[in-house]
Amino acid sequence: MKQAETGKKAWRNDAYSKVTGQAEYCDDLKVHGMAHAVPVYSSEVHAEIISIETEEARSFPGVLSVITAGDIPGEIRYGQIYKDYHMLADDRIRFNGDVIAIVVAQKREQAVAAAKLVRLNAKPLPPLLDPEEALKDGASLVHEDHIFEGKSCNITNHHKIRRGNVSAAFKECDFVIERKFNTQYIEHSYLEPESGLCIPRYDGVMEVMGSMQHPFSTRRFVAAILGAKLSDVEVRSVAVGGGFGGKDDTAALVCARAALAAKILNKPVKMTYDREWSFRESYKRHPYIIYYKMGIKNGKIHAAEVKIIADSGAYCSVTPWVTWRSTVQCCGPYEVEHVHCDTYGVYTNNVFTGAMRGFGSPQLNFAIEQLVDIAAEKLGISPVEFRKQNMLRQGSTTITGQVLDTHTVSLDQVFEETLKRMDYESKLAKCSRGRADENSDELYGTGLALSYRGMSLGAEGMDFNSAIINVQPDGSILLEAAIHENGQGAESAFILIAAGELGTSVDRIRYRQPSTSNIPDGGTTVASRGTIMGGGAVVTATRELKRKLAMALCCRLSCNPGDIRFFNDRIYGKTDDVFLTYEQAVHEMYLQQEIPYAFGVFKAPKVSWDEETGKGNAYFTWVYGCQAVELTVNRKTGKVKLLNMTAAHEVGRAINMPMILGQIYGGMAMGAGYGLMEEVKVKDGIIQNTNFNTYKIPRAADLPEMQAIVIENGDPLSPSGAKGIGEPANELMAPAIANAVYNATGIRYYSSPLKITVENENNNK
Amino acid sequence: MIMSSFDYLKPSSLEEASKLLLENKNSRILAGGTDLLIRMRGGEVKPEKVIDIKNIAGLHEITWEDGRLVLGAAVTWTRIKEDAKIAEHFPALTQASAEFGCYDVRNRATIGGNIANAAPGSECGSPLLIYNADVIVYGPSGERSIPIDQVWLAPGRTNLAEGEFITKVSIPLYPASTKSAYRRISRVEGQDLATCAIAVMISNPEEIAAREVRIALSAVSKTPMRAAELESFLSGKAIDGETINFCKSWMHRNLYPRASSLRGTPEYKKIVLGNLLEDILREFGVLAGELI
Repeated sequence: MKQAETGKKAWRNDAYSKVTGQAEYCDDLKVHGMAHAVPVYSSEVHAEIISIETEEARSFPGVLSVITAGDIPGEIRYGQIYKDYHMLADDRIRFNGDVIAIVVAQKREQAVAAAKLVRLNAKPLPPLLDPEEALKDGASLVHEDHIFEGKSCNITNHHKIRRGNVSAAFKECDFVIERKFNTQYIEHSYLEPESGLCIPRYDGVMEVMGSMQHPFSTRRFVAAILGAKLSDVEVRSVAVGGGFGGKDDTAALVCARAALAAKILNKPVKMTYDREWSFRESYKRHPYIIYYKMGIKNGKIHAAEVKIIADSGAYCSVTPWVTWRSTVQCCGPYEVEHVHCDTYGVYTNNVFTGAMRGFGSPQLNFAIEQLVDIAAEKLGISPVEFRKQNMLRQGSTTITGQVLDTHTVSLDQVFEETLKRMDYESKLAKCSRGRADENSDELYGTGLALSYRGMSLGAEGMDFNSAIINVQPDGSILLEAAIHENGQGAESAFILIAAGELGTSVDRIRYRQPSTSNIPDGGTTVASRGTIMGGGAVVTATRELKRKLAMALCCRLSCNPGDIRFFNDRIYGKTDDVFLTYEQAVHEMYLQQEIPYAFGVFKAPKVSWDEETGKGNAYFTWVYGCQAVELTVNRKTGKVKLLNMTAAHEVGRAINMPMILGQIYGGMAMGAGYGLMEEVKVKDGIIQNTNFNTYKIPRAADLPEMQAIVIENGDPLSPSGAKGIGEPANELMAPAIANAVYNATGIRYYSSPLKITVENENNNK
Repeated sequence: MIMSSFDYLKPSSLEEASKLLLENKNSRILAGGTDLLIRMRGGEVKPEKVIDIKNIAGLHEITWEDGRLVLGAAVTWTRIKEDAKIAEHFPALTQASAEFGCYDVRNRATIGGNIANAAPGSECGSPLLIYNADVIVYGPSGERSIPIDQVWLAPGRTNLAEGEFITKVSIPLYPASTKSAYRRISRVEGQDLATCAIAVMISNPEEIAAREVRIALSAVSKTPMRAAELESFLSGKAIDGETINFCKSWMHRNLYPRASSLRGTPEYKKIVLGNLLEDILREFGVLAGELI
């Protein structure tokens, strides 16, 4: 184990253009003759569509077309798992963000004005808004043709874990804790709202640029709506202003609708979303209802019974995958002998929910890490001690039966480092527990949370990635991988990995702007899999390139291929005085009619899962994290002041340290928002806060000093040694805050965000 | 995107501005624009004429005359926040200015605009109420002065007549012994509207019999309001734990914040305002046992 040096300088390939504002995002792009498309919504939450009247809008000055579902040449319905998303509403309105038409005009202003003239005739239906009601037999159906396990219902999926014998085990327990938790909707709050620009090209290809996290998913949506083949659509990447998991379904839909308009009008069409439209239509982090029963025997978590209900909203999106991770990680990083878990995703007429940074873990961690503190208190021991007695260690078996022996289990390391850096245990002793000093209204508390997290997709789906490395005649190198740059620094990480493997400077390597027509689909940029999967492919490709170079150059360098060394931006033979520059090396390759080009694939090691028992090696490797917080709660106002947030994360091998620190700081900040202030408020199915004046995210002034500890344990199953940090950093701060607020006030909050009550003194009758 | 077209006018005199305002029924005064432009963008207001008053001489001035502070309507919140003399005489106003918006909003937003916007939780509301400020307006019949507690009628509605607009705010000076303070609660630090706020002023804090207490509350009613009943209860008497408890209970019995607020529940606002009042009185040193 190594605690990494965190003072290294940042390097990014896009820093200059982004800092100076030169980087062009989708909405900055302009094409000659380009028209503008905008969506049309209705005031309905759930309704049967009778007709959509477009005449008035069509006659508005500048309007080129008003497009409804009937104009779609391809498929109306699409989706990542179930094809349940009506790309334009045709039969029913299923949530308030359903798009009933697209208005295309010469100017965006004209399109926005004309959109108000589209009329919907609809028969309102009672909306189904409570996920527990939606689960009941006889509930109205959000999708009448949806069948799950042989019957019509609103269930999108049901994951299970059946480990040991829970009912017998609870009888053996010293005590059992039973609690219900609720978590809220969260908006991703990416800086750049959705945008797409589609150009019908002279060769018959529909060219698409947009703000998205997965160009290949966008390509599938576009091809589906157009009724085109995948090869008829080329999605090219432009700078993206953030995603946090939120630039998949909705981002793809915006591009698909723009492509539909471009196809119908045979001209370039741009569709850029206002923040209000983005809030209204885009998917959110799932609100969860969690019923948790935890049994303790001899100081150990002996049994856990968990029922999870995730509100999927009107569409399925990736709910089965999100809730699968919740299921696998439903007991946190602890050894538990007996586990019974049932996780349901369920349709309602609320805004739909999907991927968001954390992907099913923030909700569960909010519950588990509070339960662990509750258990420790009942036992009369410190929450630190209780975690040490229960946590996963090298060779431990997870609740799905996976033995953790292929990598370094660094949970104890991240825990110990956090405790040490915070001087945690002496601070724990100082907590107010509801009693303030005589002269102060500030109640002091500290709290922490631990997690482990499966890396990449695991048994959720196919998991592989590829990279292309192509050395040019002058020795410069073009590199690309099938992972998308969403602003997180993926391209820079790949350049650093390739430069490290090839022993070149980063200046020699340029990242090629990716296109879906150039590299194979490598899956979406989610699940903190960018660095581990894309980086793995980059390593494989560079090794293949080095093999080719060594075979071709060994004669010139008078040695065996195996003796050739790559460093100092050159290619060396057996001794340091025999070398070729890259320019010379490529020249030599061309003379031999050899192409210095390599394609590398990294396939995730095998994983397994049994849907009925919840047994399997769910993920091929795991990361470990610990976050802690110190805060005060003002007992007169309920205001929480964060004093310090500290995180320790194991990342495998660190590639670009300042980017890792950025992920950790940003993750803690977003986690603080989850715990204390962020909440998409929905009333009768309609989102009440659709911009940042009413949806509050933490700002610099809300945030305290932050400290990050980075632990490096290179992972043998990751070719680059690196794992991931994007999501682990975002799944711990909310429960740490909830524990700290308890330690400050003596009051537990089981719903996020915490709504701190103020002391209601006796006389306030 | 502002979806309605409008003419931008920039008169250079009060007369001209009032005339334009009177002639154009659907027109709006523009000062800082931090409220107006957002509402125009949202389509809530669609003025045909936008009349910018920043070119009118005198509206940018901060003057001290005849025992009064006079703030031009176009004085920005940054200037109020940074004025040491205002901080000395009207600390509640300075404290409110520090909570107002954020740097860039304070650089544009004006005191006149904040009054004219008539928000129930406006930052200027409680401080101007406790200081008995007068709002000077100019209109077709010339200049007139409106006491601050008669300016606001309802959210977004003021007592100004057709063709009238705010030109100045005039605040009387108080003896040096007077104490005043402003406290507000918001969900995040900075750039959020107040969840609720309170301003308190006490004159003659050291002479109980002559003591006058003024209390104003924001974001609990349709307009910022004075709590007259509480004021007469607290004025001229020693304040102790029991008095404080009465005040807290008064908040519960007499305040009816709207339940639909995204920022705080009625119950929370009522409790917190009582606590903030206690806080301020303790800080003033007027809680029995500490000063007397």
